[in-house]
Amino acid sequence: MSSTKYDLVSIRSDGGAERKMGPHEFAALPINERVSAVLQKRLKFYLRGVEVPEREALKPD
Amino acid sequence: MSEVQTDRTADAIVARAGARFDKWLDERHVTTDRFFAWLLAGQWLFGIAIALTISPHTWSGKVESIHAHVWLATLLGGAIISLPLLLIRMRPGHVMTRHVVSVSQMLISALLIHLTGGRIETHFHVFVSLAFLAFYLDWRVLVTATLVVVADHLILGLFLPESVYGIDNPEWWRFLEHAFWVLFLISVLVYGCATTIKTWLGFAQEVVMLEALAERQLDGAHGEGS
Repeated sequence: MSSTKYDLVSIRSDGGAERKMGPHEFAALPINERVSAVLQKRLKFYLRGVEVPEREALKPD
Repeated sequence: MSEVQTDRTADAIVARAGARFDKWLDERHVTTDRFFAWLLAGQWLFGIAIALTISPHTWSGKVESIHAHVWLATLLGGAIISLPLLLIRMRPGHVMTRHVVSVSQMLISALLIHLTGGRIETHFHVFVSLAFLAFYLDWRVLVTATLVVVADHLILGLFLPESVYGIDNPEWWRFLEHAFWVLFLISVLVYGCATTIKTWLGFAQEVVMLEALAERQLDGAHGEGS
C-alpha cells in the first residue's frame, strides 16, 4: 500500500548519500529498513516538489 | 539513538506489528469457526427437514416405515458435523479446525444434493459454501473443499449417479464440468483472499511507521528531559 500524500521520498544513508524513490518503491523496501530510517530521521517526503511533514506523510490515507 | 539501539527498536516494533497482524488473522479464523458452528448445525436441521418433507416414509406392501433419507439426514448429517463442532469448541482458530470445517461443509453439500435427488439447484449450495469458506482468508481451505467436492462428484458420479446428477447415465466426464465451475469460482476467491491479506499487511505496516515515529519522538522527549 503506498501513500497519496507524497510522490517522492528521500532516504539519507549513513554516509550522507541521498536515495530518491517513488511511493511504490518506498513501500517495497523491507519494513525494518523503513522503520530504521524513521527512527534515525533519515527520511524526507515531498509532494509536487514541496516537503511534507513526516507525521502527515505517514498518516494512513 | 545508537545504530545498535535503532536496530533493536526497529526489530521490536516490527515484531509487535507481526504479532498484531497474526492476532487479526487469528480473530478472523475464530470468528469464522463460530459462524460455521451455527451454519453446520442449521444445515443439519435443514437436511432433516428436507428429508421429512420430500420423502418421510417408504412402503413395503402395506407396511409403512421411515424413509432411509430421514435416517441418512439425521445420522450421517449428525456424524458429518460432530467433529467440526467438537474442534470449533476445543481448538477454535486452529488450522486443522478450518480444514475439517471445509471438508464437513462440502460433505453437507453432497448430502443435501443426495437428499434432493441430485437437483441441479441444490448444487448451488457448493458455490455458496465456497464463498463462506473464503471468510477464513486461507486459500488452502478452498483447495481442501475443492478436492472434496471433485472427489464426491467423481465417486458418486461413477457408482451412484442419480444421487449427484439426478440421472442414471451421465457422461463420465460430467464431474469435470462441475469441477471447472468450482475452479473458476475458487480462482476468484483465492485472489480475493490474497488481496485482502495484502491490504491488511499494508494497514499493519502503516501502523508500524507511525509507531516508529512515536517511538522516536518519545525517545527525543526523554533525551531532552534528561
